[in-house]
Parts: sequence; structure tokens; C-alpha cells
Amino acid sequence: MKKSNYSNGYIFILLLLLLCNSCEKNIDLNLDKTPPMLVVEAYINNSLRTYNYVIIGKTVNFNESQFANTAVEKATVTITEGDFEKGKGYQWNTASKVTMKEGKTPGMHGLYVPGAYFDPKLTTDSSHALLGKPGKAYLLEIVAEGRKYTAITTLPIPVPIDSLTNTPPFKDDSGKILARLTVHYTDPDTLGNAQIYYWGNRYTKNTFGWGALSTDRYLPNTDELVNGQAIHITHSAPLPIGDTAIYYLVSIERPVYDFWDSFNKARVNSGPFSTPVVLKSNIKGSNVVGCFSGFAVSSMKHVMK
Amino acid sequence: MVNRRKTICIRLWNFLFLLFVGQNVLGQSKLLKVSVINDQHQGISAHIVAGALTAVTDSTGTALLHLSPGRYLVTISAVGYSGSSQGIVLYSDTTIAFVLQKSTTQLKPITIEADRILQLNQMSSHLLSIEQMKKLPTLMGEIDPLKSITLLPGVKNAGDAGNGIYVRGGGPDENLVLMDGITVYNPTHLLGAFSIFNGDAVKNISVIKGGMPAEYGGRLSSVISVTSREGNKDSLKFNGGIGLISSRLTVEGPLSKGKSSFIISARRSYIDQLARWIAPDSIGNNGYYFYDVNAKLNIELNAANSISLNFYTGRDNFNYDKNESTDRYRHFKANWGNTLAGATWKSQISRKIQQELSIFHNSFELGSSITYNTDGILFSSGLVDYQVKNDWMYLPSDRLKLKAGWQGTWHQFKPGAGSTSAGEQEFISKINKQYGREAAGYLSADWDISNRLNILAGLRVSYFDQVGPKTDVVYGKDGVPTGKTIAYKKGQRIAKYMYPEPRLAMRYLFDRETSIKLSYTRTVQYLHLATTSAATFPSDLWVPVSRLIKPGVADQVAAGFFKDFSKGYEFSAEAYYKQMDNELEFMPGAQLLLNQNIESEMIFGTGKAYGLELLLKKKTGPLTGWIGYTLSRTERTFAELNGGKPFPYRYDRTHDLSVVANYELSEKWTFSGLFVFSTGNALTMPNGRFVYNLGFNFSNDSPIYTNINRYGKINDYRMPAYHRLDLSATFTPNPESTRRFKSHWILSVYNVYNRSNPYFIYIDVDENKKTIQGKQVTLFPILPSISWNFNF
Repeated sequence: MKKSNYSNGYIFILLLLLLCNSCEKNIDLNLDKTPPMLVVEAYINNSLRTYNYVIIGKTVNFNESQFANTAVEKATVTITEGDFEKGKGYQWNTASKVTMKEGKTPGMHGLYVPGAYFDPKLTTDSSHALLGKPGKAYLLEIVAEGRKYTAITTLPIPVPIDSLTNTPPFKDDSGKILARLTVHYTDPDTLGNAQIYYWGNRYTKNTFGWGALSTDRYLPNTDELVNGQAIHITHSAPLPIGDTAIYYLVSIERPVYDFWDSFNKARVNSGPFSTPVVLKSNIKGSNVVGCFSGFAVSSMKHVMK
Repeated sequence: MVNRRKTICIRLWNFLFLLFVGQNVLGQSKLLKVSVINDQHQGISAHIVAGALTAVTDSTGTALLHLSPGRYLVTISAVGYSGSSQGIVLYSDTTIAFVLQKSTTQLKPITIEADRILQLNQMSSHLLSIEQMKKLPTLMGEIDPLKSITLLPGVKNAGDAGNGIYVRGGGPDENLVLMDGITVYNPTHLLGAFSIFNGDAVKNISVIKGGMPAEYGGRLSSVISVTSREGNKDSLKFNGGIGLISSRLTVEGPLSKGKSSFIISARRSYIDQLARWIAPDSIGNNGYYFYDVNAKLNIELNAANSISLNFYTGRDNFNYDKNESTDRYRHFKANWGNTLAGATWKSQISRKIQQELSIFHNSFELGSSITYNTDGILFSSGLVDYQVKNDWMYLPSDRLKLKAGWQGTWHQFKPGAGSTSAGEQEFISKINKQYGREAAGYLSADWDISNRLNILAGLRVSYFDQVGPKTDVVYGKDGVPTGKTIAYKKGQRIAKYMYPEPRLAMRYLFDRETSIKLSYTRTVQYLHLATTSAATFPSDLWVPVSRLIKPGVADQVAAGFFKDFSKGYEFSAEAYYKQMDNELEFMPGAQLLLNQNIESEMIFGTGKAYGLELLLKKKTGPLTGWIGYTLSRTERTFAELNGGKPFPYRYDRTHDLSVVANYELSEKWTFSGLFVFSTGNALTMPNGRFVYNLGFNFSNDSPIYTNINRYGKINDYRMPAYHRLDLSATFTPNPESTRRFKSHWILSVYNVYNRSNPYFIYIDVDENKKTIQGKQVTLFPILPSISWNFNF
């Protein structure tokens, strides 16, 4: 099922506003101030070593003019690989522990971003830098400003992409010839599996990070409706003809899916009758929000025709 | 212990013996049936005094009194009519009829009851007649019974638009909205801007906020009952009106002169037609309209039996198509509405026994489709009810009225079917239908223990079970389906609930001008409205109780003081306290539509409401009206919200004031005004934000991110106060005219001083300019309107 605001009745509000002579004015908002909360954005995937990173920041009061990440520097950040064994729980391989560091990396074009933690091997021995393995569990441990935070994520088995195609091309108002990308894959025959979709093209070539890629995310009910079936999804955003798209079909476990689902709801939750959405964090600790996302990635390239 | 039980049994037996036998022995009363009609043979609300007894006519204009044989002066009074009286000698059961003429010498007062409220044993209730509603200023010329009752203490609405009516801290789904006894699930057009009740077809509207009689149940907070008008039994009549956004036409007349009648009333909005006429190119096929049709037949079979048939259907239709550019296309189409049908047989079986048997059907349907580029959604939902209801009234004496009855309802819920598409991929969803059986039986006694003390005691026992056919998907704790299903056969019970609902009300008259009333009410509700937003929409779903979803239960106590003063002033003060259990909310951001596992999104908590309602009315003289004020507090407590601490309900309004005035300058000119003030709605606003989903663009060395709001306490922020002044003038060009054709003009100005009342508030964050600005959207600025109404 596609993400939609329909459920919140925005379309009906549109009707009311269209028909009525509504007007708008600026008002002063006297909002509460609260102590900052730690924000963790962490990824482990099996395909892109440079895209395994941890970003730590803080919340700010709503009225502050600070918009970029409020970095939390000099934190101790480690990621450890392990397995989940029935009856025993998680078994962590301490030898696999990687200490993530702030620093310049090739993926970041040598840019130093405070609060962004990478495997230092990316600069010294990139072929042995941290890389997730499907089926494995990962433990994230953070000590920041004297407090400890942990999170666990598991990489599912990646779902292979059968093929990528595009819709017939069309010309937009500016004369550009565009088409829409369609991904074809077979949904795994296990209930509750979830996928999210990322892709890059010429527009994202000079960028870095999961947040810089184009994306589309689907709701959990989808799997019940299409379990085990062939899937053909056309993404709404058009791409230029002749462009080479690189597509990432990302399989995720349920808690990670729940986080990104709540993130999507929070992202668009600015309408008149919206309810406050609180992110479904999988980070444990006091006064913290965020997600340690285990991404099981399969990828494919496609030239838009 | 055994002796104590025995003593209680003996006392109870003595009580019952005295109640039934003693009253009959002492009484040997005669039945006086009083029928009050107007010059169009329509029953009207009237107040009757016969000796020391008083009574109020029912919806058909009839009242029954048990009196000892003797001489009586029967006096009738009714709002807008000249009073009348008649001396009678009562030596056997007698029926008398009064035909009241519209008052010409006495200026018509605008009051909210036709009777003296202090003498009624029913507390926390109000009745508004259509004559009174017609005198209130209106939004765009549309008379709106639902909006009218929100001018009364303890009854609130969401603002300028919104389906919801909130009574004494209850939710919008906790009101039993009835039209001629038939439940209405979605009583508004245009998302709450107008109600489905066409003023030409309505006779009156009543609201009971507490102390509900045992014959009513199924909702926690109130009974809002609309009675439609009966047709003229004397001659064929037409009346109608032409307004700014809609026009109405009503035809009525006799089927059998003086006995049976029909009435058909229709209304349609024409915003769409006007827009197409003014700007045919830009409007195209886009537009919105609503219509509704009311029909009613009243057939008097004989002096003791009558049948009434009611029908209503109405629809809202909206269509929006827009090609934003070559590759961007938006489309939205929706239609929704109610259909109601009912048949009622009333019978006076003997001089002491009346019965009423009704069969009702109602349905609500929504169909919609949305398309945006390659993505699309089709969605439909609805529900269907079939109901049988039987009420009996037994009058063993002039001091005792017994009522008993039962009702059964078959519910069918269609939570949604539809599909979503992403290009060629289509996800077809069909959420299982749900079926429920709701039943209730009740017994109540209305007992004048003395001339001063009256007790209205009742017990209602309600029952609900959800039955198959249904197939439940079994979900794990993480919301993932386990692959298991549970199949229920047709009629197989899935969950059942049964609750006793005791009702008790007491009135004590200190003298003819002063009374106090007390009441206790337990109400149970087996249906919940699934909505996450601050407003209610046609797409919101009604869901029945199930194994997980428990019935809502409310206990309310209320106490009131009522006083009549000279010069037509009437004052009342009521205090109430209400405790609500199993209040339902949804997890923030819950997906409600096309969600088979909707129960996993629900959370359950409690509610508490208390307040003081003051009402001062002036009922006579050229200047009439009322001032209503409510001081109240409403809270909700959910373990999953606000850290488990109580938080204000969204429509918690500390202060709520309404002032209504009507001034009859002459036969030609009448002026009305209303002023409302209320504390702003409670909102949850962000107390912080953070960036997430980070990326970096090396072309301009800038970060890419999404701002996410952080929230703290629930409903801790207040919108600005709501206040508004409306004025209207009614001009009747030829009030003395004896011609058949009559007309009048109504000029109305809504929001006279153009107050920017908040419809909603949002925060505009401009990340490029690094600015944060609060924005307030107002729905209705000053809105003058004019309508022309006629009848012949």
C-alpha cells in the first residue's frame, strides 16, 4: 500500500478550503523549551562500505534558527557483529568490534563532518572496512556525553531484483524528455518481510549518504496483499532519458521498517488535523531517538530509454 | 445476613405492592387525552395545566393525564401561539382537542423550551423548535439545527466547520443522533459546515446531555433527536426558499383531509452550477454539491392507531481534476451520504396503555478515488443498520407512568475495500466486513411521589455481540502476520458484552417557581469511530466492539437548580461529573484505512469531565433570548500517551459563552443576534526539532536533511480564543396580507466584526531563509447572506 495522506482526510480539507474563502495570517507561537535529546542515525549494509556510518546529533528548541545537525562530537562508537541463537539470545563476536571515528573519508570527498562516525579503514584499507553480512546481527554501542546507548539490528536476506524497466518517455513543460522507473522483483514467501527503495542517477552522483538518494517507501500491509507474488512498482518521480539509474532494493527487518514508516508519517505530518507522530526508535538509552538500520541491499543499473 | 436479606425482600415487596396496587386503589382516575394542534392540523409542543397537574405534549401534540373525576380548567400554552383554556367536567375517559392560532397580538418569544423546564423531571435537556431556529442568524442563509444546539450550555462544536458535536466532555461519536428515531451516523454536509437536516423538513431538535431516560442508549454522552415535520392535513401547500448556496422546495398536503398527510422536501446546493456559469473554462467538471430529500407520510387509521413512514436520502459529491503540468495530474472524486427509512405504528391499546412499534433502516456509503501521477487509490466504505423497536407505556394512575420496551439492531460494517496502485502494480485490499447484533430492553417508572417530589427511575440492559462470517488474521506482537487465521461461520459469536445501565432522576419542587433536580446515568457504547484527526471525515470508520475493543462505559451524576422569575425570566444552573472508561484513541500516525490489523493501532484509556452550566433565559416581551455559560474541564488518560499522565481533551474548553437575542420591532421587522466566546481548542505543538535522513551535496557543499518535530506534552498548547458576532434581520413585506402567497426575506451577517478565528494552526519552516513562522488559517471571514422564503 502506498503511503498516502488520504487517511488523515487532507483531501477532504482541500475540498473545504477550496470551497470556502479561507485566509491565513502570521501568529506568534510561544512554544515550550526542553532539554536536548540525543539523535542517532546509523546504518549497516552489505553492499556499500562507505554507506555504513553513524551520525550523532541533538534536538534543538523549535524556535531556534539552527537547522543543520547539532553535532555530538568525541563520542565513543562501536559496531560489533554477532548472531542470534535460540535459547541463548545474541552472541557477539568481540573480535569483530569496529570502533567508528569522526574524520575525513574518500566517500565524503575529504570533507570533515562533525558528529559523523565512519570505520577508519575507509581511508587506510577500504576493502576491509566494515560491511554487513545478510543474516547477521549487529550491535551499536555509543557513549556520548557520559551516557551509554545501544541498538541491535539484523540484516535479512536480500531480495534480488528481476529487472528494471521504464515507462514510455514523455516531454515535460520545459521540454525535457523523461520517463519513470519500474522495478520488477518477486516478493519473498515469508509474511511480514518489508522492502524500501532507493535509487541514484546523475542528480545524486555528486552526493553522499542514504539521505541524499531518491527513495520510495511502502507500508507494512503491502506484504499481506502481495506475499510471494511478482511485484512491478513504478516510482512516481521521473528521470531523464539517457540517464543511468542505479537502483537499491533494500530489505529490512520489521523494527527498522516501523521506524522508517513512522519517519515518513512524521515527515509529512504538518497538516491541520495531523496528530503528533513520535518516531519508533530502536535505540536504547535515556532521552534518545533514532534508528540503527540494517539494510540488506541488492542493486542493479538501468539506462533510461 | 439471611434475616437482612429477608427484610429487604419484604420491604421491596411492600414497595412494589404500594406502587402498583396502592396507586390503583387510591386513584380510580379518569383518562384525559389532550390533543393540541395548530391551524394546519399539525401537533405542536404545548404545556398543559389541569388542576394541580401539568404535562407536556409529545411529538404528535398529544398528552395523557390521569385525573380524579371532577371539574377542571384545562389551560394550554405554546410558544408562538395564543393560549387557550376550557372548563371540563370529567366523569369518564375524555378526549379534548385544542386548535391554537398563531399569536398576532402577542409578540412571539424566542425561547429554548415550550414548557417550564423547572417542572420537568428530565434534566440536562433542551428543545429548540424550528420557529426558534429560523430566527437565529445563519451561515450563508442555511438554517442548521445541529449548529443551533451548540449555542446551548454543555454542547460544543469543533469550530467553524467540523462534524463533531461534543457534549459534556464526550467525543464526537458519543452522541446518539436520531432523525425520527433513526440513527444517523454522519449528520453533515460539506464536512460539517452544514447539517443534513433541511430546515423546511424539521419540526424541532432536542438534546439530552445527562439523566437520559432508559429508552435511550447506545452512546455515552447525549441524545440529539431531530423530529421532522408532518404534512399539512388541511390543504395542499408549497413553501421554499432561495439562498446563496442552496435552494429548497417543500410540498405538503392531505391524503385524507384532517387525518392523513404527506410532506416531501428537497434541497440542493448550487455552488458548482454557479461556478460553472461564472467561469466555465477554469472550473470544467470540477465542483461540489450536496442534496437531500425528506419525505414523510402520516396516516391516521382510526382514533387509536396511526402509522408514519419516514424517508431521507442525501449525498455529497465532489470532483476535482487538475493537470498541473504535462506529467503531473491530480484527480479526486468522492461521494458519500446517508439513506434512512422507517415505519412506525402507534397504538392506543386502552385508555392506559400505548405502544409504538418501529422498523428502521439506515445506511451510509462512501466511494472515492484519488490519482496523482502514477499513484492511485480507490476506497469505499460504509455501514448498514436494520432495527426493530417496540415501546410500551402504561399509566396505572395519575401519578405513575411506566415505560418498557426493547430494541434490536443488526449492524453490518464495511470497513473498506479498495486498491492502491503504483503504475501497473495494483494492491487490492478488501477489509473483512464485520457484523454485530445489538439489543436492549428497559423498564422505567415516572412517579410523582407527592406534588413536589418526582422520581424517574429506570434500568436498561444492553447487549452486543460481534458475529461471523469473518476471518481474522492472527498477528504477532510486532504487527507481523503469523500466517494463521481464525475463521468464524455465519452467525458464530466472536465476542459478546452485556451491561446493566441504571438511570435515576429526581425533581423536587420547592414552589411553583423553584426546583432542584438530581440524576445519575450509566451509558454504554458498543461502537467507536475510528479517527486520528482533530476533525471527523466521511472516510472515518465505525468499528464495533470485539475481543480486544471493549465497550465504552460512562457514569454521570448531575445536580441542577431551576428558578422562574417574574417578567418571563428563567434561570438554571447544572453541575455535572462524568467518568468515562474504555475511551479509544489511536496510536499517533496510525494507518486506519485499508488496515486489516486496525486493532493493533488502538489504545484504550479513561476520561473525566466536570463542569458548571448556567442558563438565563428571557421568554417573553419584545426582547427575548438567553445567555448560556459553561465552566468545564475535560481530561483523558492513556498509559501510552503523555507518560501516562492525564492531559486535556482536544475540545476541553474552560469557558464557553453564548448570548442569543431576538427583538421584534414590528410585524415587518425582526432582528436577531448571537455572540459566542470559547476558550481555544487544546493542541499538541512541537517543543523541539531535529534533522534526520542526512546526506551531503558536494556540488554546493551543503547538507541534505529532513526536519522532524519533537513533541512533548499532549494538548498542552491552546489555540487563540474563538469569538464571533452574528446578526440577522427578517423582513416580511406584507404581514397583514390575506393572500395565499406569503414571503419574507432574511438578511444575515456571519462574523460581523470579521474575527480571524483559528480553523487550524501550523508552523511554516523555511530552511533556506532559516525562519520559523506560526500561521493561522481562518475559514470564514465576515459573510453576509440573503435568502428569500415563500409559502403558498
